Amino acid sequence: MRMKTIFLVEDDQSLRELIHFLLTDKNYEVEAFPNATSFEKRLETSDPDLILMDIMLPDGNGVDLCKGLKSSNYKKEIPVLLMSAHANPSIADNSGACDFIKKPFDIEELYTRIEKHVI
Amino acid sequence: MHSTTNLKRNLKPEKFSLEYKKVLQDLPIPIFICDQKAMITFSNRACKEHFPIICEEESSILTEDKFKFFDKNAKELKSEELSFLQTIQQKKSIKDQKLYVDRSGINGYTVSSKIHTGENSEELAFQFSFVPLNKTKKRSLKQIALSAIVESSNDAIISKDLNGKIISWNKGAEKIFGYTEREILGKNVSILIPSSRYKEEELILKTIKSGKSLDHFETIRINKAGNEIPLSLTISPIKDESGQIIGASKVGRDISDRLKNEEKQARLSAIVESSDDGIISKDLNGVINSWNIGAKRIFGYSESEVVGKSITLLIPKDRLNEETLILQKIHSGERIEHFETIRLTKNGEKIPVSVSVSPLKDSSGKIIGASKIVRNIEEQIKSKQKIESYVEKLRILNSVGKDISSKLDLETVLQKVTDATTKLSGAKFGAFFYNTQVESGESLMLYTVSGVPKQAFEKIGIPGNTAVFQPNFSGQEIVRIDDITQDVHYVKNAPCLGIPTGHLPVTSYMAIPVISTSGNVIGGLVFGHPEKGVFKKDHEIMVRNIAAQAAITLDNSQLFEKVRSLSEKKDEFIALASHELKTPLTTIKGYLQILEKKIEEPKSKLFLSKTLDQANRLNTLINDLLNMSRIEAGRLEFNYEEFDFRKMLFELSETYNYSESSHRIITDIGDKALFIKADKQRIEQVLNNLLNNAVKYSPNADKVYLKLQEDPSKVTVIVKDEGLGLTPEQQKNVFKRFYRAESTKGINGLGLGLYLTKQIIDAHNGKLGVKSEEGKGSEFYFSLPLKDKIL
Repeated sequence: MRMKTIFLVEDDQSLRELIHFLLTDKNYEVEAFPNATSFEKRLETSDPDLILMDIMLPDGNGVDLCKGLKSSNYKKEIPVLLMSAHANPSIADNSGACDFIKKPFDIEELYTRIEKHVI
Repeated sequence: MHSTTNLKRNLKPEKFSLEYKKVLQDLPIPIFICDQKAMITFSNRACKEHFPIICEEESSILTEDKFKFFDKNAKELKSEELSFLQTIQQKKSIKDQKLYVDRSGINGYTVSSKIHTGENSEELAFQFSFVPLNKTKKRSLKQIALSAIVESSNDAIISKDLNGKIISWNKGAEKIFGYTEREILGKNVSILIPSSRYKEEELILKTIKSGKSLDHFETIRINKAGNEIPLSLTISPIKDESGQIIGASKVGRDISDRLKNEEKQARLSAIVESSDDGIISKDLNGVINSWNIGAKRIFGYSESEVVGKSITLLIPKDRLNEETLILQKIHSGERIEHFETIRLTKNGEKIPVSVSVSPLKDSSGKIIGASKIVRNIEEQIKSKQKIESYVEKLRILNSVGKDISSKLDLETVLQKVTDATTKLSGAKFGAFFYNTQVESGESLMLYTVSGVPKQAFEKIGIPGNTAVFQPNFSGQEIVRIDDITQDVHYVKNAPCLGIPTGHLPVTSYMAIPVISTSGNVIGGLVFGHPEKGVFKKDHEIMVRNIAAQAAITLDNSQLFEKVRSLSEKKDEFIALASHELKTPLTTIKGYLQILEKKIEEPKSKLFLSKTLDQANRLNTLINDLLNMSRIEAGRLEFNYEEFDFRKMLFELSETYNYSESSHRIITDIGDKALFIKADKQRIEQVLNNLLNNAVKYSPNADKVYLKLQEDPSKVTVIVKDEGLGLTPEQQKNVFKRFYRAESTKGINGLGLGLYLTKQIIDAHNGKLGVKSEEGKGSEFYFSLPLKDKIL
C-alpha cells in the first residue's frame, strides 16, 4: 500500500516539528513548509493526499489559500484541513476546507480528523 | 296724516272711497261730482243746501235752465257762458269762474273743476266745487277743513285756554294719552304733566302769553295709565279776531319709537367709535362713506381724508383683485368672515389684517353697500410666530441635547451643535473653530460649518489673530455686535471673514467661546447674518447654554476618542498575544501527550497528567482574556444551534463526578430530552464556569447541586454550593469584569469568568442572577428562553 502524503504548512518551527513527528509516527509521508510561498511552489509539481494548514501565516492567510485551491481545476479535489489558535471555527466557513482544528488540540483529535479526510 | 288733494290724486273715480266722500260730505263748500255723461253721481250736504234743484242725483247737469247765474255786472249768463259746463265736453279743467246767484254782485262763488282720471280715459269723473266768495264764510270753511285734518291726525292736537283748561282734544290725543274727549274736556292740562315738570308748563304758558311759539320741544307727559311718554310738542298761541291771545294749541308727537331708534343708534355709534377694530362702510362701487376711530388707528387716515375715496386706497396693488371678489360676494348678499390679507397704511406700510365684510341693506332689503370690520393682526401673527419659533427652539434644544449627550463622536457632536446653534440664533451661517496647538502657538482650525458650504470659509484661513476673533478665542468673552462693519476692529482687520469677496456678507456678528470644564478653550462658535442687529441677548444666552453643554460632551468625546484608540490597540494586542501564546501551548501539550503514552512509570505518568491539566487551564485563561476583549469590542460571535440541553447537563455532571474527587455533583435535572437553540460551546462554557466556581469557592464542602427547572417559556439552571457565600455588596459586583471578592484571597482567578458568563447569557436574551448569604453558600442561576424564542 502506497504511503499517504500530507503537506503540512505551519510557521511555528516547534509545532511544525511536533506535527511532523506525530504524522510520520502514524506512517504518513509528510512534507512540511514554514510559509505559503514554499508550499505553493511545491504544490505546482505534486499533489498530496491532504493539506494540513495553519491560518495565520507570515506571507498569507490559510483561508484565502484554501479558497484559491478550491477554485482551481487541478487542485480542488485535495482535502484541506485548517488549524488555528482562533477559538471560533466560523472563520473557516466558506473557505472550502473540509475541517477545522482548534489549537491547542489533543493528539487523538488530530489523528481522528486526518484519518477521516485523507483520500 | 292725509290731505284731500292727496286723496283725490290717488283714487280712481269708481273707487271714491267712503272716506273721501265723507270728507267731501262734511265740507261747507257745495261740491258735486258727475260722470262723463254729465249725470250727477254725488253731491255733498252743502251742495244740497245751496242748490237743491241741480243736486238731484241721477239727473244730468246739462238740463236746460238748471243753473241760473249772473256775472259781476248783474247780467244773466246763458248756459253756454257757464264755462264749467264745458269741462265735460272738452274733458279738461276750465279756469275758475266767478258766478253770482243774484244781481247784487256780492253773493257769489268761485267755481272750479277737477277731473279725476282712472286707468283708462273712459273712467273720468268731474268734480265741481263752488267756493263762496264771502270771506268770513271762507274762514269758517277753512276752520272746518282744518278740524277734519285735525281729527284724522295721528298727532295729539289739543287746545287749552290761558289757565290751562283743555278746550279741544282730537282722536290722536286720545290714542296717545288714553283719555277720550269727553273725559278730558274742561280738565286742566296739568293732568298730563309729571309733577317734576310743572315748572316747564309755567314756562310754556309764559312763552305763549308773550305771543311766541315753541317748536319741537321734547318733553315727557303722562298717559291715563300713568306711564311716561316722550313727546315732541309744538305749542302756538291762539288769538281771537282782535289778535288777543286767548289760549294755546298743542301738537304732540309720540317720539318713543324715534327715541328708541336714536338710543339704539347712539349706542351703536358709541360701539363703533370705541371699537379697536376698524369699522368702515362703503357703497357698492367701493367708495368709503364711513370711517371710525379704530380705522384711523389702524390705517393712519382720518375720516375726512378717506370718506368719498375708493377703498382701493388701502389695498396693495398685487391684491386689487381681492376687492373685485369681495364686491362680487357682497353683490350676491354673502358675508366674508375673517379673511386674512395685507393692507396698506397711510405711510405705505403693509400690515396683516383680518377683514369681515357684510352687505348693507336699505329698509326694502336692497343691498346698497358693505360694512367692513378690519382687525390689525400684526400682534396676533407675531405672537403666533413667537410661539411657533419658541416651540421650534424647544424642539431643537431637545434634539441637540439628546444628540450631544448620546453621541460621543467628536465630528458628529460638533456638527449637531453648529447646526442647532445656527438655527436657534437665526444666523445665516455658523461655524465652529477648533482650538489646535500648532508650532507657532495656539491657532484655530475650521471644523464644522452650517448654512453655507465649507468652501465659503476656506479662503479665510486661520482667523485666530484678528482682533475681532481674538477676544473670543482666547476665551475671554462673548462677542455680539449688531453691525460689525461699524466696529473699530473690523475696520482695522478686514478682511476677517472673507467679507470683501462678497461670499459671506456679515453685518450681525456673534461669537461664543466653547470652554471645557478644565478651563481650556476648546474652540468657538461664530455666527453671521447679512442684516443688522439680528442677534439678541436671548440668542446669546441660548447659544452659550448649548456651548456649555457641548463643552462637557466634547471633553468626554476627546477622552472617549483617546480611550477608544487605546482600547482598539489593547484588543489587537490581546488577540495577537493570545494567538502567540496558544502556539507554544499547542506544542507543549502535544509533546506532553506523546510522553504520557510512552512513559509507563506511575509517578512520572501522574506528574505528566498534572502538567497537562495546567496546560489546559492556561488555555482556558487565554480564551477568557480573548473573549473579554472581543466582548468589549462587540465582536464576540455566537453560533446558534439546536441541541439537547438536558443531555449536555447530564454529560457534564458525569464528567465532573468522574474526574473531580473533591466534590460530588448532585443533580436534579430529569431525563427527558429538552431541545434549546443556543451557542452550545458557550453555554457549556457558562456551565463549566458556574460549576468550577461552586467547587472552587466551597473548599470545605463536598457537594455541589445542579438543578434544572422547565417552564413553558424558559429553562432555568441552578448551581448551588455550600461554600463561602457572598455579601450583598459582593453580589452587586460579582458580574463585573476583573472583580474578585476580598474573601477569595488565596483562590486564584482573573475575575473574568462570571463577567463572560453574564455576557453570554445576555446575548441569549437570558437572565443570570445570584442568591447568597455570607457563610451559607451561593446559588447561581440562569434562564434561557426556549427554542426559537431566544433570538
